[in-house]
Amino acid sequence: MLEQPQENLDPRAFYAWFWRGIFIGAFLLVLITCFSIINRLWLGWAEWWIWILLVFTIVLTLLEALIIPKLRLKFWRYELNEEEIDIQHGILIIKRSLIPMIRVQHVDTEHGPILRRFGLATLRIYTAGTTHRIPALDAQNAHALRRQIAYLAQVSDEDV
Amino acid sequence: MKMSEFQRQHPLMIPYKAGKQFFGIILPIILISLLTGLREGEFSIGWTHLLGVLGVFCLFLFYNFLEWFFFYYQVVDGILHIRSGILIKNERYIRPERIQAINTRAGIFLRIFNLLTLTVETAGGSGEAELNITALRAEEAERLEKKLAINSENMSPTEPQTCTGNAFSLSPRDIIISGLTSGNFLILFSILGVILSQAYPIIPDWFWDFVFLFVSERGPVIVGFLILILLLLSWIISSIKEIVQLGKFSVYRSGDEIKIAWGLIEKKSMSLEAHRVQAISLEEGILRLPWRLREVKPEIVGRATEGGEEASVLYPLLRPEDTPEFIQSILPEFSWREKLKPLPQRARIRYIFRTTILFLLLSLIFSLIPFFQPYGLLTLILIPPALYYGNIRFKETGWAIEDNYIFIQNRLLARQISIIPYSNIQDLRLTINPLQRRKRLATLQVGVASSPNARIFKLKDIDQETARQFWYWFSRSRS
Repeated sequence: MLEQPQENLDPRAFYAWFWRGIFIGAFLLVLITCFSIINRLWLGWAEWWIWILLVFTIVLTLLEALIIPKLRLKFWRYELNEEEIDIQHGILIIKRSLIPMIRVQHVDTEHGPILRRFGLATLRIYTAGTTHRIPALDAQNAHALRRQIAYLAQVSDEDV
Repeated sequence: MKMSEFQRQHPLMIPYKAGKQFFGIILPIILISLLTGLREGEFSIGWTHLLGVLGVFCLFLFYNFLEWFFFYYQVVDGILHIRSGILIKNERYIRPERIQAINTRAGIFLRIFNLLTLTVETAGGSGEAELNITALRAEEAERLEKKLAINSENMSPTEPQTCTGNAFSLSPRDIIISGLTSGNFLILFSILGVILSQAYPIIPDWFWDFVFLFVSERGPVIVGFLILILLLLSWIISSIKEIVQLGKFSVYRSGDEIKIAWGLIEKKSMSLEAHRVQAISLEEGILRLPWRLREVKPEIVGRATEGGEEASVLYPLLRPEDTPEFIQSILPEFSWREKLKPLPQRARIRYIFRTTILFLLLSLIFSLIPFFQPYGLLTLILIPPALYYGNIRFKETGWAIEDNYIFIQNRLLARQISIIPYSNIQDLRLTINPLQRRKRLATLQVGVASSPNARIFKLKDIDQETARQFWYWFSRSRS
């Protein structure tokens, strides 16, 4: 329908999301283990649903750690010019956003422990009321983009 | 060099915030445990209790120490730069022209040490709109305020337009029509219903004997009759209330000011800067639909200047033939267009499906579970009206792009026509789900600033070609 935005995310995003998926999965597994121990010692409920939960968690973790990051990386795109920011993402449901520079209220970068380990950062763009983000960019690049957007948002003048 | 300009908040922030959080969370717990302890009559404060409470307080202290330690701010070239976050690092830059207001405040604790909390407010309400720098020395706060306030004066987004100073007021006849058709009685009806159902233990027994006497034979008739009376009663009450409240409604425009006055007995008035109106919606409630009588509702950004009361209605009852004149004289920043464009035919089935699915599921449940038989099958009668209503929703959804305005008409229960100027659109979003892709349809979302929360106008299942048209219309670099 429209031509795609040009830029991709940093490929290292895959590893960051992979580890995040693994950590979440590990956390869920610990929870399930704790619960099954409690169940054995005190509650004595049937165990089949714990196995279902286990299988479910493992499948979810594999999806969240291996398949979804790949697809997300493939479908996340963005482009930036002097007038606006164009973001496209979504694996099944494609979401395309257009944010004029003049409407940008502020920009910030954010990085949690996993992203930082891989030298990545998330860029967040705020308008008066809505928020957009470009996740997992190269940290240097994210800072440069942030500066660029802040600068462009400042100079662009509306003539409507 | 640059790093050295970074400043931390005053260290007293640590005990101040820790104390605040501590009392906010712990005090209620202590009170509750005290109360339950008293009731059970075996309460005594032991060392362990005190130690536990102290331990929790230390945790709060430690957490706030970390917050303090990792929070830096500086002002470079008028841009406020804040670096914060213990684990998740956040860098924020706020440009002076985006700042709506800078406030300082100080509680007793802070005032003792001559400290202030500085709050920087930016437009919009995404929850990120407010920023606190806690515990600043008074002179430091003043210095910051000066540095930031330089440019925040010239922030009015649109040029105030000169205006003819035309007035619109509601005629007595319209006031009565407005009261009778307001539709608020449904709310009152449900409230009365709830009250009645809660109050039934108070109702004397003879009443119930009387009712049951009938219920046994002509039960449904009596219940229906009661509901009808309740409906009528709430309709009359809410009509009178509406007439008294909105009586003598008038709206007047001069320069950038929109002045609204209303009230039959208690006079009220309000004034609103026109540039703060980001979008308007003309809402046609169900009782007003046959005559297409409209209520004009604004989306307003920023805070009320005086009194604090904000207008939720610009005009309560507007006739179709008066609409162009109203817009032209009261809201010349907006435009009006009678005929909108319909959605493509292939969207019809999606609208019908979306409306019917809920009823379909409900009636499936009710007609399949034996417990609800045979009355469960009655829910099936809801399906044809739902189909019909879905079709109406499709037919009454429309759009138009005209010059610098977009028009979006939606139908939920009420019909709503929204007018959004190009210059007030914060962002534009298109989404396409797999089912829409097959049918070459898309959903449009237009974000508009509004207080306290941003308003997103949605238009579902437009032709992808239309979506493209919206995109190019909004794009500054491609049009």
